[in-house]
Amino acid sequence: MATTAMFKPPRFSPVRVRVLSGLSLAAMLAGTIGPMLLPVDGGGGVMTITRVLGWALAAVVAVGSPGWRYVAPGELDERERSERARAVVIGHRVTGICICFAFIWLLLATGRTLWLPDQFQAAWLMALLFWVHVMVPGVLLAWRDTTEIED
Amino acid sequence: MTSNDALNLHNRLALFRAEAGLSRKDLAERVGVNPQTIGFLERGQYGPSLELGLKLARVFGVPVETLFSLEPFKPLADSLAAPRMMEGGR
Repeated sequence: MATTAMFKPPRFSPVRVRVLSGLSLAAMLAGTIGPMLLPVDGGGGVMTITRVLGWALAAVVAVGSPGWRYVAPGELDERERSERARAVVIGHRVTGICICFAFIWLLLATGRTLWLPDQFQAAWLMALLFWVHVMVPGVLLAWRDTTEIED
Repeated sequence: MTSNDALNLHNRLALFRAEAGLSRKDLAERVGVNPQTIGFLERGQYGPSLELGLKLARVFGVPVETLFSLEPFKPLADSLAAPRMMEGGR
């Protein structure tokens, strides 16, 4: 029995994914790392809006590229499926390595004078890691896909 | 590079496609893939599945080994010149 999809996600061009992911990363880093390095209030309106903007753009990238999100059967051809699988594996590794480093830092910092984030900073860093994890496969696919001029 | 890297797979896809007067988009539609995939195949950056290889061979009406080979194909000029050289040598 044929079923119709309730929501068909858009498919952004590689250039659009590159631009949106770049803006997202810039906003997330400015809103997350910025308050840790500079004398600005991380909980203030400007920084909060910057972070939320970065997260929103990351969500747009995740929906608009067939990386992390669900892909309907037949949406990708065999090469694209192969590249997507590879991109997801790389993204998984990157996230795993980040979690491992965070864990090691936490172990080393406990009881020492190493820097540790406060509750809010930890939440922002976790959000940054999550959204980067969500974006990485789509971004890898976008940089791998060359826009060719058809003959 | 993908997990289907075609480092040892050679093909004459571009040659056959040009001879048939097909664009990448036309050929892609006939075999049910993205036009970019045809480009990846022609550049040897992707090794097709058996199913896709057979579909491509069927489009051009040739056996799959005419289109794909594990050994490098001889240059077309050599293939064309060989019979003439034999005729000239008689």
